[in-house]
Amino acid sequence: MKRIALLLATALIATPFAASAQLGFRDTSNALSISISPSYPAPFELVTLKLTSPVHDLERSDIVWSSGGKVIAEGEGLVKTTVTAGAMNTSMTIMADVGNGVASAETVIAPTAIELLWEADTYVPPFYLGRSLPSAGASVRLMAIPRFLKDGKPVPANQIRFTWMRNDGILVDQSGRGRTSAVVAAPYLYSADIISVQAETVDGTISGEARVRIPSVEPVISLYGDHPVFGTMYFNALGGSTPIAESEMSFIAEPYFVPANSARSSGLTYDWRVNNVSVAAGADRPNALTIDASNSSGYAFIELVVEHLTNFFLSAEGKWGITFTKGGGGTDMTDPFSGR
Amino acid sequence: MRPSTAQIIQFLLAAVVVVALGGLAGWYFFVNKHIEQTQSTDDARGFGQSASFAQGIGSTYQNIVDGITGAFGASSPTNNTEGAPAPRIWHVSKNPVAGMGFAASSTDLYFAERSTGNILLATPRTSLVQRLSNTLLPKVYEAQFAESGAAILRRIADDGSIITFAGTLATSSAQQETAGENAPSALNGTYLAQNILAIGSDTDGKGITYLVKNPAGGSVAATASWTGSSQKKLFESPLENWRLYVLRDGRMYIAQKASDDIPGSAFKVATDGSLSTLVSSMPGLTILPRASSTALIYGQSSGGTLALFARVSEDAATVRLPIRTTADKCVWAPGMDLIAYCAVPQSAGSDAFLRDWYRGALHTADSWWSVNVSAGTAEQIYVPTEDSLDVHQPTIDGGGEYIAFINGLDQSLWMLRIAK
Repeated sequence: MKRIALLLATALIATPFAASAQLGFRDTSNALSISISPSYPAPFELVTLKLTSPVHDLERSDIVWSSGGKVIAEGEGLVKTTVTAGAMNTSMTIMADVGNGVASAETVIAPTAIELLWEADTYVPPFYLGRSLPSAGASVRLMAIPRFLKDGKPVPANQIRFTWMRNDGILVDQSGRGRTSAVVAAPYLYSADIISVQAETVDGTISGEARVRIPSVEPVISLYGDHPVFGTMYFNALGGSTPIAESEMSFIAEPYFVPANSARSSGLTYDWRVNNVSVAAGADRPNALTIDASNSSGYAFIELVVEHLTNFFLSAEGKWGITFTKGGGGTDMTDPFSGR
Repeated sequence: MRPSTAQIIQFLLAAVVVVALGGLAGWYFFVNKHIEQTQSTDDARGFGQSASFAQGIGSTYQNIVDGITGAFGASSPTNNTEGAPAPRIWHVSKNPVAGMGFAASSTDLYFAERSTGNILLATPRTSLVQRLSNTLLPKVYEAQFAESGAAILRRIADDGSIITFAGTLATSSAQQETAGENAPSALNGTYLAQNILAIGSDTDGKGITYLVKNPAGGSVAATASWTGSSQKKLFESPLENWRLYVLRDGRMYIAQKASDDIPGSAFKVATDGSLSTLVSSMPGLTILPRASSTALIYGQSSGGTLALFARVSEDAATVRLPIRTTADKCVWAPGMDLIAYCAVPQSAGSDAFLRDWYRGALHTADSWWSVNVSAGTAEQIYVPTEDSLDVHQPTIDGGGEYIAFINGLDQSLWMLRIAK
């Protein structure tokens, strides 16, 4: 018992001195670090290297930057330099020497590439050649394609850990091993989100990052003639003032980028007005409207508001002036909808 | 003197005969009048005239042409004398068309009417337009052709889904035998899977490559025979917004659908379905890969400005071309020289050019330029003098003589002879 007490007392007395010794006499040659920007350089990207140290007075030290034995840059207080990253899946070791061997540090630049692709799940008409863009209340689908090579072979996705982030906040439920895709909520109206993905092989030897800025857009309503023979004339969205050489015409409204899988989605409401008179939307085709102007002045001012039953952020509207120039009622200047 | 009974009977019989003759005469004139009326009505309806089936231009075609003169101008499908060579710029069809493709080793052009889905053949050497098929497939929104004339016709079902029909022209039919060898024939084929998002075919019309909506989300790319059998999956993608490019040499590319200022990427698709990057994260990216080489033209739409770039091979440096347009308005010339022809808008007209152009809200007035990609130079070759041409879907014949395109203003079909 006495021996144990003696050992404890000795340990307690000796500890401060040991700690002091570590602080006072430790090897400072490695008290250096090199940071690189960007953290995950792409192939042939310009990389900025910065040397920092809590111990050494770098501003007054001679610093030599080298790679593969060749000097890249040197000078007193040269704490920053730049280098161009190599090709994809190559590595470049950069060394910084301070005070002619007093201290040194090294880092490896191994550029990788990750393709980060995205699209929204919003509605666009069939055969539309443009991208579906996100609007408030929609979702965004993302897909990451890492270009990691190991021993000359692509690293399979199930050997890579993916960490998805929105505005630098980790999306835990979307992240994990082999999770090459993600679905996130679209940004709020008039805002944009930064979505990024970090990928790292499970053995930690290769890593990379990609990020995209995803803006939210307002849905756009286009109005098209719906011809009995040619169908919806998607090639000609009607403008604010359009003459039409008919006395009767059907129209189709296409709400681009609304969060729905169809223009006739039950979640969408169509509020039509023609010459300031409300027109009930059809049950089967609420985005369609037919105007017969044969006994009228031939001018129809069409207004449409599209809203969503549950998504209160969605409200898109359009206005079009249509002049029917083939009407039989040229002398009767009554409004075609005034009698409703 | 009282008449005898016999006389009364004779008188009555004579009266009956007179009344009967009068009735018959009245009936004759009454019926005859109605026959004349019926005949005149029938004449007005066209009864008794030779049926238009098996003629070069069918009644449906004529009815449609007659019915839409107000909407699309004159009814004549052509603007030149049939039999004579077509003018340098030939308005092949004033009616909306769904798509077109040149025949193999020829300047003859197959095209599909948007209204009927009928296949027609335009011959610029004679300015003749011949109807090849009379199978009615109304409201065709997109058509593609193999060099054999095999056609892929795409429509929209009532529920909004996309229907795709792959067909070939019947080689002979009873109708043709009775009506002559120039008579239209049936377009025989099969309906492929619903909701095919993008499709391309090989040149001989035997195989197709397509992207179809995956019920589990995203899309699946596959190859199949023309009838949709022998399917082979290429890859799955969590995304749907792809454009597919199947080249004459069989190589395949995909590109994300473009939107102004939005980064897009394009990939080469290997036969095993693996994707290798072609262009990465380019705002408003549109691409035009070239058959039998790795040369590439690609466009950018960023900050309200269009720019066009090219590289002569996969490893070559990219050069910026001195014209402002989108790759969608360009076509590679065949041959060894890296020449392309591009329709260049006189003004972009919108900060969101692609978005507005794709949804039909923007139309351009284009002139044609010849682009020497190796030299990075461009030269104007044709400026329309009368018509405003908003070039869509340009395609070129195998000999590099003619460019066919759809005018986005009215979906009418045009051909431009490249040589003056």
